[in-house]
Amino acid sequence: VSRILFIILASVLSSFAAAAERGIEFSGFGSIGLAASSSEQLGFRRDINDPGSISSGDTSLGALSVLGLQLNAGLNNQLDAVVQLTFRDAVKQNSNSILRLAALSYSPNDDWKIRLGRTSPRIFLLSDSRLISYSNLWTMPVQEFYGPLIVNYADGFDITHSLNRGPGVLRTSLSYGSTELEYDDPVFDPARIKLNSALAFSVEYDAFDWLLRIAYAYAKDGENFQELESLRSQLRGLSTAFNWSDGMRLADDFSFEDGRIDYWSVGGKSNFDKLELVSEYTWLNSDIEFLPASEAAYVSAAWHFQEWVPYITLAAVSVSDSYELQEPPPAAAAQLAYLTVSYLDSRFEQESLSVGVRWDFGLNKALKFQWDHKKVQDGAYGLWAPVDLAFPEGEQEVDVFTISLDFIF
Amino acid sequence: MMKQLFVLTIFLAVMHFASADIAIVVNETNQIDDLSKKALLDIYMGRAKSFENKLRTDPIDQPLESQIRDDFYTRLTGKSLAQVNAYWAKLKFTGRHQPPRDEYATLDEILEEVASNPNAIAYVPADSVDSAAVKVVLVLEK
Repeated sequence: VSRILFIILASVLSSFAAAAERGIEFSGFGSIGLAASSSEQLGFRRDINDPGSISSGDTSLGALSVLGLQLNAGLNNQLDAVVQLTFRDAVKQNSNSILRLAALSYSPNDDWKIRLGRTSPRIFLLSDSRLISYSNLWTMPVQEFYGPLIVNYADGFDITHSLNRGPGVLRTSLSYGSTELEYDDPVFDPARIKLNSALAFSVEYDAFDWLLRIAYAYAKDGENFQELESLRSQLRGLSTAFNWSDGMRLADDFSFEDGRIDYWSVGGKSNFDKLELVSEYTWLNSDIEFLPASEAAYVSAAWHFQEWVPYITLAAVSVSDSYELQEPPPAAAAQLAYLTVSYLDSRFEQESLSVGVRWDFGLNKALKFQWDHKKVQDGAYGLWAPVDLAFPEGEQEVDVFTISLDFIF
Repeated sequence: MMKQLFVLTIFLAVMHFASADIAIVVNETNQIDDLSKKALLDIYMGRAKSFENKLRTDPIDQPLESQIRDDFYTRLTGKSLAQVNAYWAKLKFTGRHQPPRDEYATLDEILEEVASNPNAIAYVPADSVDSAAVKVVLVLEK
C-alpha cells in the first residue's frame, strides 16, 4: 500500500469512527453478466484492462460481473466520507483494483464541493460510473469509446463549482492526482503504467432533460516499470553489439517516461419524451508510442416504453499511425525487435452496431440483452486479445452477445 | 364474493392514491411559503442543497415500494421511478451525492419528522396534511 493511499485510508477511516454516532450507511451495486463471441481468432475484451478474453465457444462470467460495496458517513452538514470496494475479475487483486473510492468531501455551501482522496476523474460521461451498470443503458460501456480509456482512479483532489443559471446548473470541475494502471500481458505479467500527474478539467451545463459537456485532460510524468527497463537494456545491448541503430530507436520509443497524453472530449445527452439520445466524441494525442493519436465517437438512441427500453448504438474508433521497423533487425535480435514493434504498433480501427434492450423488471433490478456486430480493420486489433498468441490477417467481423443482471441495494 | 370485494377495495385504494394531489410540506418555521417546481426538482434530484432562503434542505422520500413515490417522481421529472433510481445510482456510487433519506415507514413518521426538523422537506398525499407544525409550499396536481 502506497504512502498516499495509507494517508487517504487513515483519514477516511478515522472519519467513519467519528461519524459512528451519526450513522453509517451501507449500500452497494452489482452485475452478473455473461458474454460470448463469434470469433475464433480475436479474443473479446470489454476494455484493454480486462484480464481475460472471450473467443468462439467460450462464455465468460468474469467480463461483466462486478460487486461494489460502499460505506457513507456524514460528519456534519458540510463534511462527509465515502469508501467503496469493487470486486471483479482483475489482472491482479490488490488495493488498486479493489479500492475504487476513498474520499473526504467538504461542501462549504451549495456552490462548492472539494474532495480529497481516491476518486475517479470525470473525463467522459461514464468515466466514473463505467462499473455501475444499473445506472447505464447498456450491458457495458461502448467498447470502441471506453475500451482504450482505462484511468480507473486518481489519488489527489477534485473541486467542483456549481452555478444555477437559467433552466439548469453550470458545473465546472477540476481534478488532479496520480494513477496506476495494470494490463494483462503475457510477457510482463502484468504490464504496469504509473502516471504521476493526471489532470481533468470539465465544464457541463445540466438542464436535467439535456446535458452538454466539454472536457480536457492530460496524464503525464509516466514511470517505466522494472521489467520494461530490463527489456530496453537488452535492446540497447543488442544495438551496440550488432551496430543496429534501429534497436536504439526502439529502446527509446519503448517507454512511458516523461510521456504525455492529452484528451479532448465533447458529449451530451437529451430526452425528448420517450426518446433518449447519448453521444460522445473524443480526440487523444500522445507522445507515448504505445498510445498513438486516436479519435472515437458513438451515438446511442433509446426508447423508454415503461419498463422496456430498447436501444441502438453506432460507434467507431480510429488510430491513424502505425509503427514500423526502419531496417531489418539482426537475426539475433529479430525476436525481441518484433515483440517490441507489436507493443508499439497497438492500433485500433473498428466500428460497431449494437442493439439491445433493458428490462426494469423489479425495483432496483434490471436485465439487459445486447448484440454487437463489430468490423475490425486488418491489423488494427488493439482492443482485442490474441487467441493462442496469434492475431489473424485481414478484416474481421465479430458478433458479441452479452446479458447482464444489474442491481443496487 | 369476499375475495372480489377485497380486490375491489385494493383497486379503489390504489386508484385513489394514483389520482390524489401530492402536497410538498416543510417545517412550519421555514421562511419559504412557496416553492417552484424547478426548485423542488433541484432539491430532490441532488442539484441544490439549500432552499432559496439559503437554509439547508433535508429531503425525505416515501418508502421505496410506495405508489406515492412513483407518482411523485413521474409528476416531478416526467421519468419512471426506474429511471430516477438509475440516475441516483450514478450520483451515489460515484460518491458525488447522497439521495433523499427513505428510512421512515409510515406517513405519520414522515409528518412527525417534518414537524420537528426545520430543514426537512417531504411529499405526502394532500388530504393527509392537518398538522399546524408543517406547511404546504407546493401541490403537484394529478
